[in-house]
Amino acid sequence: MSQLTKIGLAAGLFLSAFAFSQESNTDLGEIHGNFQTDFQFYRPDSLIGAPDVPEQFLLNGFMNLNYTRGNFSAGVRFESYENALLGFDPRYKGTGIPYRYATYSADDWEITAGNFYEQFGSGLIFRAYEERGLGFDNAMDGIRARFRPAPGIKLTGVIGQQRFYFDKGDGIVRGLDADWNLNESVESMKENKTKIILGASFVSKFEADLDPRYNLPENVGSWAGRATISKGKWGLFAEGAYKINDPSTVNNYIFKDGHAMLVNLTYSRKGLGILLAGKRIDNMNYRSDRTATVNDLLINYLPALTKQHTYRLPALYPYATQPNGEMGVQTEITYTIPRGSRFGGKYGTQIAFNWSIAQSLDLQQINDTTDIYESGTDGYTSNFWSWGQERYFQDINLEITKKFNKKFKLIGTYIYEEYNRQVIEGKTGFVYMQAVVLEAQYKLSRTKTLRFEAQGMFTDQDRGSWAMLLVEYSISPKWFFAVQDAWNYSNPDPNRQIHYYILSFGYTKGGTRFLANYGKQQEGIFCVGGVCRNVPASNGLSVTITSTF
Amino acid sequence: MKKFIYVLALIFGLTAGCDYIDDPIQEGGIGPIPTDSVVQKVLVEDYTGHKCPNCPDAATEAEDLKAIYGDRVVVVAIHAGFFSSPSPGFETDFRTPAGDAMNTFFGFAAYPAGLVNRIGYPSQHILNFQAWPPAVAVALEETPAAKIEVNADLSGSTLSTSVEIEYQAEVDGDYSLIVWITEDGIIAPQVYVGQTIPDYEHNHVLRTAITPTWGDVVSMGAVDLDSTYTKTFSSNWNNEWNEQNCHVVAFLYDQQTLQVVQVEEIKL
Repeated sequence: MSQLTKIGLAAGLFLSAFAFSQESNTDLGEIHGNFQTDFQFYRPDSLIGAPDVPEQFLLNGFMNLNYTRGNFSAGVRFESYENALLGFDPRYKGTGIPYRYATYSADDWEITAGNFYEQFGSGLIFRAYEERGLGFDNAMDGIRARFRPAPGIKLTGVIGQQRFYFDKGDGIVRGLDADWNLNESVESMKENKTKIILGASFVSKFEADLDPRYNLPENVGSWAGRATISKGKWGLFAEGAYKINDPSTVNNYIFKDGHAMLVNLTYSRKGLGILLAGKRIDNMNYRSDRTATVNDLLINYLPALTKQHTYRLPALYPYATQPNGEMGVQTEITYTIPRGSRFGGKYGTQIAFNWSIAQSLDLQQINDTTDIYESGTDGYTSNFWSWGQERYFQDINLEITKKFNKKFKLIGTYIYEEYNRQVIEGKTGFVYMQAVVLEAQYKLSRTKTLRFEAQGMFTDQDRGSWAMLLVEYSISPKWFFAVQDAWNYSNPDPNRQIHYYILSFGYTKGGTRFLANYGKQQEGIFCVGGVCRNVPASNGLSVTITSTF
Repeated sequence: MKKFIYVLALIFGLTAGCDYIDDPIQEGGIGPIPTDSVVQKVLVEDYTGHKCPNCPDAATEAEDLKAIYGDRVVVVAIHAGFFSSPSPGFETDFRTPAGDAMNTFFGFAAYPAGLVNRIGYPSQHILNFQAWPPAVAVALEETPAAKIEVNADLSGSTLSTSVEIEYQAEVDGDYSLIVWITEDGIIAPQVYVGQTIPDYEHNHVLRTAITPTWGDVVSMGAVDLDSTYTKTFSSNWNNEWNEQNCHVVAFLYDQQTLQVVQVEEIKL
């Protein structure tokens, strides 16, 4: 860590030297970056279950600095957690430079030394990325080489260790990806209306075996193949992945191999879009530390294939991908009733229908004497085509957007959800939820907009039903004011039928934005793309400042 | 052409990365227990709570480690954090001020989780229980830098403890001693994956710290081989503890890394 910091600081000083001399010579390159800080004052509130915060005040902050000159670029990211905000892992502690890199690119190749993000295909066997809002960052630290041996062919090789808070995981990750665009590389296909891109990747991790009980694989390899085919209005993406035996904490040390399959079919024409997606994930937890859990040291990424709701109440029950196994389907249809028709009105009416479901795999014992998921065995067998009995998640929702005139727009949403808390959160119970949201937007003038939301979420389980109102007034591009109150009116505990009110204020000038929230935040789960973190309840003032330059 | 050869070489280099395992279970994987007079022992701190649904699995893992390594593994269950607070049906308060302070200091956010010789602080010290076996195996490989001998005597409501530390290596740094009392065989309710076990047996429960939470300084600066230090403590005994089931645990740690150098446990 200290070595890392030193290198980072050296790089930072080197960059700032360039920054100060930027004016004197036009050929010294450019520096760009961005900055964000989030801080919150916490007030004790045992009634909503807000944990005590001895520091009373917590802060997360970061700054990216990127320098480019010709074919060369380099950058650092400075991060600070004094201490990490509630809901972020407390191992984010202190201040440092966990990310620094240098890249040089020439005509057909590119080399990066240091940290980098990368993704092979849809990420089923490799994705290094960050999601600040989740506190998720599995950046690689090592070397990446890209090479274009011929038109339409891209090769990428990576090797390194993964970020683990302010440290690195011990495991080594190595990977190679080939991407082949047939239309660019095969002469006879250049004018072809069918576009085909093929891809293949191989990833392997090394991790020493120190276990006293099992003979563990020190090298775990995985393969994936993919195809993107499109013709006119139709598009198809399919990817399949395979991983050899990879016993881990998450799969209870079973020695079974892993499979993943992802298929996306799309059709789109003016006014109509159809998406059909399916996936099957079987024992695909893949990390550079076999004992890691939650969001630590993940090598791959398994998409959720569910709609991510943004309204505050329905967002309380988001789906988290189950890496040990699931089957899922998603359909989305968007249709615009043409303008001028009876229901289309002057501007057309948009209808979006979405249905998604995730179900367990159909697991069978490997023999009569071995339990399913018994450590030190192959764990289970499962039929590729048959669905398991256990429902993990289902979501059926409909959204209708209607613009009545230049000033007034209404959006109505209905959501029905089935949510398996045992599987998704590790808590007992199953939640059946229905939600209705009505959103109205009214333009008072060219810059002034009034927005209004009424939400209701109805359930007999968990914390019971909620109702919410929000009023937002914005004067673009600078000012923003909002008031909202979410009321947990049917909580089974009468003492917890609480109003969670929030007052918000925002101000933007140039590349800098200031946002303040004051009020009570309910406990919940926050997810991005099926990766989630718990957010504890809190009461107090939070401020976010972002800036880009 | 040359480029392709490089690429091919890279591919072959990578595809070497697969170990297929046909015999998962290790046969006689545990080495012989050293017969030297001083052996390295390992402290496993299990941060737990009576309302924590997966915590009994961690306790089982700790017992498994004791079954493999015998008294070379010292287990202490520290009830702290969210799941440990008393509430209707779970009236027993297993918490201790020292446990609460350590829980906050080490930054536990999810349970069960633990520390193995407190290795890895500040960023890699928190281990889920499945990570304990390899961590214990590694920690046991250390060459013992100290030998600890504990004597304790309970008379009336006063416990007199003396701890002798004999350095087995020339060390340079600041070292402190922590002494705890633990109790086995406490029968009280425990949540276990969606159900409550009314008569669960809680073992290795931290009852109190005889020393301050972060210990008593033993030595500062350079120390010669075979240097011996003795610390004596007198503490109050709580009559609710069953002395037949109690142990005294003493461990020496490096103040800079927080890593445990040596640990010893005796039955009262």
